[in-house]
Amino acid sequence: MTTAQSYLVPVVAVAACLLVRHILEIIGQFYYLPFVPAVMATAMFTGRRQTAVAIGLSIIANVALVARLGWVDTATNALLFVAVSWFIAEMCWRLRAMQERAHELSLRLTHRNRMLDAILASTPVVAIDRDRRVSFLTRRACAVLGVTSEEAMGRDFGDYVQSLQADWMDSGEDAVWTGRRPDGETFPLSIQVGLMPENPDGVLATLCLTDLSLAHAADARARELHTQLNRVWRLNSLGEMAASLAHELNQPLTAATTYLHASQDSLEKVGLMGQSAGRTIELAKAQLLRAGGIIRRMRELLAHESRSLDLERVAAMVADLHGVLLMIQTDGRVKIEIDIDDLNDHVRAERIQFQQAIINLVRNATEALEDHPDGRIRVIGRARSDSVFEVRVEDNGGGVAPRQLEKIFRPLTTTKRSGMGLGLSVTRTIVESHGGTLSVERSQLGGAAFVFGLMRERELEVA
Amino acid sequence: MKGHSVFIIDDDEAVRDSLVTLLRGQGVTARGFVSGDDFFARLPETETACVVTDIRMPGMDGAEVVRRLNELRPGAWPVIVITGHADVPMAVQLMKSGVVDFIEKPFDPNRLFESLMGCMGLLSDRVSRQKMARQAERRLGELTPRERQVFEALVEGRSNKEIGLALNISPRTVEIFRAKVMTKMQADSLSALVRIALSIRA
Repeated sequence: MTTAQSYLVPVVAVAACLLVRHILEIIGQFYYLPFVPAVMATAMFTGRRQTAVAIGLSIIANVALVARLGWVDTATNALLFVAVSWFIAEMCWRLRAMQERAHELSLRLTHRNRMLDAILASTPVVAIDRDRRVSFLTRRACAVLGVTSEEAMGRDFGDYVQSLQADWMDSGEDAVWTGRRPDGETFPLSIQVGLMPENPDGVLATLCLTDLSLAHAADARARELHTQLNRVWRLNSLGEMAASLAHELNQPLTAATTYLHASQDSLEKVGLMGQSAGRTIELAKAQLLRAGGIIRRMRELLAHESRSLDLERVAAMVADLHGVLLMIQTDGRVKIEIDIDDLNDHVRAERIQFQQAIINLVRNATEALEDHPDGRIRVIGRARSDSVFEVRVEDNGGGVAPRQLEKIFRPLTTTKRSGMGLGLSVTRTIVESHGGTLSVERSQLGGAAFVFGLMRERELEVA
Repeated sequence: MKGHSVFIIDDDEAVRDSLVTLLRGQGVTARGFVSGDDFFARLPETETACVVTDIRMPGMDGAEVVRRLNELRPGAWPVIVITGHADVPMAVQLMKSGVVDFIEKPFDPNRLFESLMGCMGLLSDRVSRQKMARQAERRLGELTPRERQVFEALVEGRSNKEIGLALNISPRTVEIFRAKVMTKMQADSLSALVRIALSIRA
């Protein structure tokens, strides 16, 4: 309705009332009363200005049609009409506003209801009354408990949960129970309780159920994988350790053999007297060499499985370690950054061994950072020359003391409270089997930096 | 075995000491060094010696020792590598860089002796060759310019006639110079003279 049209309303209404008044003249005398409906109608459908127009028109019509005693009488009646009709109009407006508000509220309520329905449909919720009987349950809740809505309604909720104690809801906290389906199957069940203590319709609480069996299974799987991973690492380390120890045993064996040979030489000078002793020493020497032979065979056996250097990419090998590094990062409360040049990183390497070396170095760094509040470890890979790709594991810990520099690579020496002291020795064995050397420097971060080189493979890069 | 020193570089105290004891027992001058750095820091002022080195040592490793020795005294100091951590690629690489022998720990000391004998032989050969070369050079210095010309032409394998034409002298004069050269160089035949010339050039 346009403004112009809205002004038609008072005119038409007053005209209609005028007509009615004219008809009613047959019965008797009327003054302002027949115009009241016109004002009410105008107020109901339009605004204040239009109502004012209706009132004005009514007064004009009245003054024109009814002869009065004097102008005082006329004015008083007119004013009275204005006051009364304005009051009525005001009431009309209030009524209209309230109607509109009620309408709006009911719309909102409907919307909310729909949303609640949707939420309930997607959530396993059970409502129980004071006697712990199920008074309502959603489709999802039926699925979790393995029942139909009809079966469950009115039954004791304790039927579906093993050993539900009497005071189970009092704490108001979430708890994990063992759920029991009618077919006897049990499952871990988390219940979140929403209490409604003063609810008149008898519902005591709503329970939000969560079936934890999937989460538990995933957890168990992760734990199992972790254990497996640890076992593989440990086995792998064991092989390397044996190789490393074999090397160390060769030193005393060499010294012993040489000493024996020297005493043989001295005995020969004694002449005939020493001959028999010389022969015995020869036998001892042979046994030492045999021990050396055994060690060599063992090492060859260990090396046999792993001594094949394939074409690998450093970035990819390190990327594989993401999960393990993440684990170390969380366990050791350190920050591990990876920065590998992934364009020129084609090298000859044995994947597992290389990864073992990196993990060993990162673990070492983590242990060195044990009491450091802001520990950082960086794994950096750069092509240093046409033939060497340098890998560097550095930390911002205390570094390696100069007097320890010579000792740290020796097996069975350690600067840590726990540990066998084999990590670095094993790592060095691995690095050497890759044709490089493991050295330690001062890192840019302030701590120690362990550096080694890998052989770059370029022909295949071009191809 | 005697005459040349043997230097032993090994970070393992027992290995080093046992080898020194053994070699000294055989009357060989032997000295031990804790590491490559130690060796080069106290580098003995000897013309020739055999070096026995370990591979895996803190600081400078055996491969580095071989490399630096080659730079410092090319070919003069034969190196024998002893290691408890041998693999084929490493051995090949070391042999390529001029190592005489590669022995895996633990070893029969006789094996090391054999290898050392070989080194000593090499050294003695080299020493006698050097001696010869120095002698020949000294003698060559005693030749007059004309005799020098004749000597060079002779070892190039030219005949008396050709030499005469080239130097613008008669073959008979060439004959006289030739006899003088042979006497001064102490060569009893042309082939001996050629050998001497070769030893100088080497």
